Amino acid sequence: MNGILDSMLNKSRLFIPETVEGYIALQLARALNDTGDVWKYIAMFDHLPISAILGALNHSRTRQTTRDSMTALFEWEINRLIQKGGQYAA
Amino acid sequence: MQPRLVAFRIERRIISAAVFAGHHLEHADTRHLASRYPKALDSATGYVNWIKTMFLIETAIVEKQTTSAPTRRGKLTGEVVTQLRGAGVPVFEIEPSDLLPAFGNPPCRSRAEVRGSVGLIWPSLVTDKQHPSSLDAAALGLYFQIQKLLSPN
Repeated sequence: MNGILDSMLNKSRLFIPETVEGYIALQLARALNDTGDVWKYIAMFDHLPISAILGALNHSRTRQTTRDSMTALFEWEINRLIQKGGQYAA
Repeated sequence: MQPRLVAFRIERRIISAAVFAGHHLEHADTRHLASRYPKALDSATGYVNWIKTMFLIETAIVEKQTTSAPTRRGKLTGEVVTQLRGAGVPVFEIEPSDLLPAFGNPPCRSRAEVRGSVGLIWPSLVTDKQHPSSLDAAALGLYFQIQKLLSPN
């Protein structure tokens, strides 16, 4: 049973980009050391323009501290932007 | 107008180019080169000059040669790089060991895997009219553009 679940989990982690957004999402996941769930990054493109996503990445880079991981800061910023309706404010 | 970038893939008998405006692929094609080196060099430099002029190229990318042994491909690449730099176009050289892993998770290990991904991204490059090396040129250009986009300021 565990073998089947493991194989399903591993399959979901396999990712080959089929679109430019998919490729960008993979590189974004790599930049954030979070390649386990690339689909999460692809979904961001449904809600935000690339300029907003890049803005959130830069924002999380500059605010990163030893206590807060860059990934957590990035996700927090993305959620905030989606709630605001996709407009990026520095 | 958005600055344009060209990525060249150079092989023994082929030169392919992929032109990008941002991460949008604007043009891709291939020229077959003659078997005699002087004629091949003449065709390659003529083609590079046509691409540079036609698309107002501001940056160029080639794949870094991984072997120090003198090869026809290495010689052609060196000449193209010299030509472009001489014309004031900055040329960046990308290591294949950086390029291949970028196209999958887990990282791709072969050029065939990268071509598979790029063919899905741009199916128009997988036709009888396109040589597979145009997929390599497109991979190189996309890799560079997105690295630049995601790099810290």
